[in-house]
Amino acid sequence: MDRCASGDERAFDRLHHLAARRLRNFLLRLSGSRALADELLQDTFFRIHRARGSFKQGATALPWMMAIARNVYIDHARKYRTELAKNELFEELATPAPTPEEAASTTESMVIIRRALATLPLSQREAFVLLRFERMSAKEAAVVLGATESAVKLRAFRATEVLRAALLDEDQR
Amino acid sequence: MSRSFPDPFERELDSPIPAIDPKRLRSGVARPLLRAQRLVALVLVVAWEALLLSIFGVRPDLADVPSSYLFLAAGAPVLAGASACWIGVERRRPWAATALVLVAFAAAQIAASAIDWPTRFEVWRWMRCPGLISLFASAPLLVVVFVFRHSFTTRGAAHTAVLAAVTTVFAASALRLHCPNDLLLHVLLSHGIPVLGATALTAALARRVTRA
Repeated sequence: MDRCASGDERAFDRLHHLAARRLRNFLLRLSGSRALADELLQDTFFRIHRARGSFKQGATALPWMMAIARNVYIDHARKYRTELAKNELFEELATPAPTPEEAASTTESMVIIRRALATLPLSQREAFVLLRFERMSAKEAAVVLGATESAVKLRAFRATEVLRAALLDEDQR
Repeated sequence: MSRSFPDPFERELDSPIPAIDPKRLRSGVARPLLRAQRLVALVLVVAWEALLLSIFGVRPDLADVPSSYLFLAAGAPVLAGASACWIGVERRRPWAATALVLVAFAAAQIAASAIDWPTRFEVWRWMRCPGLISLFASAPLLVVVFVFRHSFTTRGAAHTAVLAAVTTVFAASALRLHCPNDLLLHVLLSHGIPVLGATALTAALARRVTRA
């Protein structure tokens, strides 16, 4: 990232190669839609390229890039004034799985979690996604979200409670 | 968080990543150029204040004003502003930095105004100073927002507030070399309120510009 920030264009290609999947998956978990995540990924890399000069020398690149990806998602959601996770998520769920293996891998609990994630406020959803699925430390997640570590942990905890309750409800039925 | 949660997007995680469109990657500014831009911006801001001071003139009693007074009224807020820039932008504590520079400005004005200097209550000056501060700060604010565009990944409003506070306090400090009215109330109201207003307005309007 430092080389990219210094103006090395080939380093940007390498950066894309290294970070694109991680960023796309983060956007996928935020938005709930693969097509949308792919689209937002383009915008994310455009913004990373645009802001690369302000990347602090020696800082960790991934949280910085994820913060930009989060901004892209928030701007998109504001622009279209839609609750993306609520609408497009279910469109994807309604789409039949292309192969039997994939269909089998989509377990019932996954569907419940996906639905419950969609009902969460963005602040809780992003904290949960970063700590649980992206395996980030609270410190790194705090950098991504521009919040304190304790705030990130609290948001993720609240999200966990909601998801746990959703799974428990399903178990009791 | 003891229960494990399966990743609901597991199926899609390994799907192919689209290539980026190189046509969209034109507007980036690399670090060396950005640093040069910011240095030029600093020179431009100082030049703007100097130009306006030369147009409007320095206060007539400047030669009689002790240097300690000048330092308190004009120099200390500028130094506080430089520290605030470091705390806000480098140490990522923008609200603390904004508070520091505004408190330093107010404290310097109070301390300087406590010195027994003749004061004049002139209504037109009370109305004129907010306008002049707006003029002194307008171009520097535009320049600063331009060179810090797309610079902050998070807390855009807070980071913009610190930049705006530093810039307007610098403008207000320059104005203290012009305005001979040392009445504390005048300085805090006619100089302080425009500083607060410009800071809040810039933070509100430019936060999307400075956010990456």
